[in-house]
Amino acid sequence: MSKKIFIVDNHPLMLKFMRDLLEKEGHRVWTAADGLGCLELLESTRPDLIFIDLVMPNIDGEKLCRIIRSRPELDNVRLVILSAIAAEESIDVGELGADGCIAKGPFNKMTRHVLTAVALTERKEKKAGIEVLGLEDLYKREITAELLSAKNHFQLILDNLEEGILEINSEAKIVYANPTAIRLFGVPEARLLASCFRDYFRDSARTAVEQLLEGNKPEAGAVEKPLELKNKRVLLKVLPFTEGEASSSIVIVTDVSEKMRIQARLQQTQQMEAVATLAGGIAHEFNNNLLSVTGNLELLEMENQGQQFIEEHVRPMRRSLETMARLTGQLLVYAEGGKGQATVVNLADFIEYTLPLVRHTIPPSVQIKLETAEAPLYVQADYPQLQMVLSAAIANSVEAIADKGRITISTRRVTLDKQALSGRPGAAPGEYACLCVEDDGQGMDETTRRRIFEPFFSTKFAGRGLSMAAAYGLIRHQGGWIAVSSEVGRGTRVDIFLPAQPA
Amino acid sequence: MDIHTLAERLDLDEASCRDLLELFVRESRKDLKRLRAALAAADCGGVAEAAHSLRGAAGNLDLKEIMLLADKMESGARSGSLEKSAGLIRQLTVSLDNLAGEIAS
Repeated sequence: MSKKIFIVDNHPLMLKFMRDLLEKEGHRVWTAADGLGCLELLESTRPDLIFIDLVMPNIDGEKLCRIIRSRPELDNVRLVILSAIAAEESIDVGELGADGCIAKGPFNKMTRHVLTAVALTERKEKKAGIEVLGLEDLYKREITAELLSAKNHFQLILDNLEEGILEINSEAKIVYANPTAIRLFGVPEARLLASCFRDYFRDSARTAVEQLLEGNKPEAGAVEKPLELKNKRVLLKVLPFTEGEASSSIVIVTDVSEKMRIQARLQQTQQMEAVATLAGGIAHEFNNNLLSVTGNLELLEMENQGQQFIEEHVRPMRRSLETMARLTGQLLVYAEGGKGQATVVNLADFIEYTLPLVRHTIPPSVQIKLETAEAPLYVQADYPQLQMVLSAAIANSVEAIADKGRITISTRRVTLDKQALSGRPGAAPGEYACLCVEDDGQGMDETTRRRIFEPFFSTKFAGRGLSMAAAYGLIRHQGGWIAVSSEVGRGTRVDIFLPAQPA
Repeated sequence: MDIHTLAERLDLDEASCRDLLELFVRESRKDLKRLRAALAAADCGGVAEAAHSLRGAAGNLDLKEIMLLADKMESGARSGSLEKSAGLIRQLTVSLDNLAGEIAS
């Protein structure tokens, strides 16, 4: 019965021999010179049997078998490996999903085995004895064993690189990807291979990739800024690679997402230090001058008691002066921390005591949930200042919750090493206590979140007490910091870190 | 070696055998070109690969002389030595030309 057969091998001699042989037997034959070519043929034709050479460029035999076996609609296609190295490496044909293996050798010996393989496809049941046909006709060659060992050596390196390595052909189709690349692209290998590299990038990232790949330039190229790939930020470097007439490119993909996060954190910390210094300087100057104005105003008042005109105008001046004094006071706290007295504070007790005091600022439609750590947690802090920090965080959450919602206050102990503290210079590795205030309110976008510690950014809190900027200043001067994370529509989380004290 | 005997040995008809041999000569000349280029660039890997391709094809057609020459070249290149390669390429060129002559006659 006439069969549809594919031959996939990179040597034209093998392709011609197999084609002539099989066409003479009445079968229909298609040929491809590499794995990629075979996959392209499969888009339009479903064969009964595919002969696959193991060693080929642009998706080798092993990968090709795996890809074909990952597609259930090709389940009934028989795969027979053609191998020049069958003698050296006992190929686990079954593991590849192939149905048989023919060792390459003199054509007369191969003819018999090829026709046997075709005849076996007549059988309805598949896995009927996978054997290597023709093995007895070959002899072991030490050099090929060495070749395989070198290949395994490089495979080991590629498999364990932190960078993703891909090879793409001149049409940007992916013909190889190491495990890291497979992980970065987030799709199974069988889908990644033969897909188009460009398709994984969108918008400006896609434009950058196209520019990078256009014209098949002979020199190496790289993108200037990190591009977005499946929620990560990556750098790409392209190395053109020519072997004979075939040209392809090696692409090195480096995930810089973590590095960028750390850098952003560091930048923000440095910025805040700079602003704090500036703020402190200005606040002092203002304070001094405010004192002068206030003092002289008091004198004016005293001198002009009973003069209605004077009193009428002094009163609003006094009010303004009080506001100004309060604002500079907050700026000073932000810049220098408050002059407080640090004592050892048990966090659970502290929350229990402070919560009732701030309860009146929380509307009844907002639920409060408490989750304190099992073991007692102690920090060194000025009690009233810590109270102001907690109420500032709670006030933020209340503001974010439109009308119904929940605020969860929790404590936990964490051990932070140098890596976890990257981007926070000045924080020593060790044990920390974390007081967390989390809400399910409207959340903030990234731009707002980044500015939350700017003095006077959230001026609406100026009247209620401490702003987040001042809160940050207080905590910072006690050896800790505040971290804020937020998602628009989901909520905000404020983590207040202070060094943990032994009991 | 004559085509008739070779065809019998390979279990092919003479016409097919001739066709395959012509293809072999064409492809092998390309391999030789690659070999010379790789040797000039002292590229052991390139020499080994081209020699491997040549060896495989020669083995398919049971052309023992060419197969052995290619095998020697591949072994040398794999172990990092290209010193015999120039001589081997010359010998291969001669053998291939002889073969081409046989086919033509």
